[in-house]
Amino acid sequence: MAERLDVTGEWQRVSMRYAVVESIGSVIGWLIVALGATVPIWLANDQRMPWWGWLPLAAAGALALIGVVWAFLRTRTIGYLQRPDDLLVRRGMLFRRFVAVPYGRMQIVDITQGPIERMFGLKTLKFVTAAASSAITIPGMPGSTAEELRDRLVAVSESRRAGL
Amino acid sequence: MTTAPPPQAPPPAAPVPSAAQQARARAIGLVDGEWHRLHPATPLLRGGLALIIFLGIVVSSFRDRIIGMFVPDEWDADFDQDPFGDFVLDQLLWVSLGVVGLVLLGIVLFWLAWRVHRFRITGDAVEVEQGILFRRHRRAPLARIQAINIQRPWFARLLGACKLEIQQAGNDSNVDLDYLSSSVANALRFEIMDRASGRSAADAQRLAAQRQAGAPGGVVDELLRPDAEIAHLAPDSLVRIPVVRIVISSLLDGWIVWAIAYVVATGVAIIGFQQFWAIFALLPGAIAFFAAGVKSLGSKLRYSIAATPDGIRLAYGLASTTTEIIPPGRIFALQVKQPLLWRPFGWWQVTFTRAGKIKPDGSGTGQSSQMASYLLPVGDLRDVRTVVGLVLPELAHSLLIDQGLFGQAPDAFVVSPPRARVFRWFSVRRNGFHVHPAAFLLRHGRIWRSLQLVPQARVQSVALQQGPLYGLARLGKVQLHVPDTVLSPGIGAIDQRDAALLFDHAMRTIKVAIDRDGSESWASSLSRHAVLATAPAVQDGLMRPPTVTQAAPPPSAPPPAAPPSSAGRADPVAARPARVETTPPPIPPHQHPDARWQRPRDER
Repeated sequence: MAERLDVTGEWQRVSMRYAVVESIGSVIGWLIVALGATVPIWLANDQRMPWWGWLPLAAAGALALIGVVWAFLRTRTIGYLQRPDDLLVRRGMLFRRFVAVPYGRMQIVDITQGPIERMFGLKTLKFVTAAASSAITIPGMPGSTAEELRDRLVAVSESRRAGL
Repeated sequence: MTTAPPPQAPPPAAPVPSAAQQARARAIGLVDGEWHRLHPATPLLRGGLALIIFLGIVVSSFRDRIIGMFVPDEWDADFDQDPFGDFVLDQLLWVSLGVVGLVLLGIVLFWLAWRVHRFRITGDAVEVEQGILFRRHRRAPLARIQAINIQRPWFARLLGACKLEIQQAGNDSNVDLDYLSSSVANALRFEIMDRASGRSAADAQRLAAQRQAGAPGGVVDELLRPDAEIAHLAPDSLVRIPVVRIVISSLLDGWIVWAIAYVVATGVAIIGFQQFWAIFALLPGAIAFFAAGVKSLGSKLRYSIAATPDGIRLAYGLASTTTEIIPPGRIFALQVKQPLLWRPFGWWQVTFTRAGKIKPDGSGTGQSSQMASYLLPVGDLRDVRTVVGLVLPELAHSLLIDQGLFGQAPDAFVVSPPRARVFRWFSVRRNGFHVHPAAFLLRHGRIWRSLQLVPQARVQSVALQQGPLYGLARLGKVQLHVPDTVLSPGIGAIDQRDAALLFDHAMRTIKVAIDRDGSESWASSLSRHAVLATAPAVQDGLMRPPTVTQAAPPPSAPPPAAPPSSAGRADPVAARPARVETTPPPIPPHQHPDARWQRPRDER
């Protein structure tokens, strides 16, 4: 395997608890799919379960397990780096994506929190520039860190506001 | 208009002010920061057309009866078939009272709407307030104006009115002043531009005098030229597009090929397979293709582009015309491309992206949404250079344009490595990029050639991407994010080290470019070029100047009178000793965020 694309620097990782959040989401999703497959089988066979009726459930379980492993691997790749003039965000293991935004170009910094994220005390930071394709988010930030980072970014981008 | 105060400062030199001076005086009266109302004919133009249509229906349905009243003998039609008419005649008093009441109510409503529809232009924004039940207040900061259009739908032209559209970044965020009197709208545009540009009062006065000196004369001009009211700023369009060229290029630009394929396929179906029903597919198809062709033609005819002190002037349209002034720095990316069938003629097309969007339901000018993305509908290499030079003057005479349009591997561009042939079959030696101090140049395609130019100071963010397949081939992709989705400039299938270098380099050059960029208020004391000449640039070897020997001269069109020193001139900073880290220049005082507030509100 050849050396993959990388940008070196002191990357700030996001909290590994975000992997748990992602895993729960993935497990719930596959559970719904499994139930949707097995319950009709159970009903169609006079409320008895043939042996092959368990196969969809097993498949969903395996996929959920893969999803969990994947979530942990992927969370390790999410990171951000504050450089003197811009913010660098990375994510993705197979599909790597590094995005750099000059501080002056940030228009809005959003903080969002879903229900599962709230249980783990995590927040998602979202940056909006004038270009819709920028699409930059940093998920899995512990609450206080997210707000500190937001305040700092807003302050820096205010001082360097640079039109469009 | 009705509330416009008398001219405040008529020039003493002219005892009888000319029409242009009067217009300017009235426009100055409008920018005093007070609320003003729109053209008195606005209710008629916005809602009165429905009334006219209604009257037309009424008149036409009573036509027979009216004729019968005057010539009863010859016109012996049977009115028994017309119970509605009988009812109207029976209850003539009530019906006429009702009609009069409805018309009065409509007039009062439209009059009220016109009364509450106000605008004001202060030192830093244009504001519009409208609505009776639902009040709407919209504010456009002058510093964020993307373009100012004057649209003249044909029915408004008849009444001497027009629509002033102030474009802002974002979807449906334009501030429209509809309708204004044509003569004032033009002067008003210049007043707004003067304020937005941060021009000093003396400069504004001088420019206004120039404009008045060459003011256009009369209605004839206006009917003949879409850009009549600003024609004297730059008398001739910088490019001339013969009608024949527009027609042929539109024919060759894709849709005619599909039309012919469609006809042939239907013919085969009819004759070859005896499927005669297929003939019914011909007519709707023909109508659709004809309509598409007429639409694409209509938006390209009478096209003109010119440079003014306030940026690029575009004018287009046949019956309903639009003139646009796009200030400097409001064009976010350019693409020069050549459809395959245009290649024998050496024609190119230049499209651009902007931050604002024109509403597709704009009154009577559906063409503008399509048209507004062309900077040059069709033109030869010389035209392309002219147009690119308007946006990026540094590149107008550069060899980079030739190399970007025609060139191949050994030249100033960094191209894909040979192992990228799997991803770029034919264009592996063309697919590449070059970083110029003013812009990124991204070159694509050998069969469908295109060149994207992204001004450095306009990039919003940069992405570096690599998927699993690119990972196996050690390739990467760099995308430059700009507002809007007409163009999404990017370059794929380049060596991952080159991609990483471009990514890293771009962030530093963009930062310097942003610091140097003064286009937000473009005519302030320190002009953009003065800043360019003094500010330092980043050097790390990527910006090597193009070498003359490696330039691939185009087969048909030689570069128009490129001076021999153009290679050196294209990149003046390249001659300096290379340095990687530079300190940003101090922000000039006029770019300070607070400069707008320090400017006196009304200098006149």
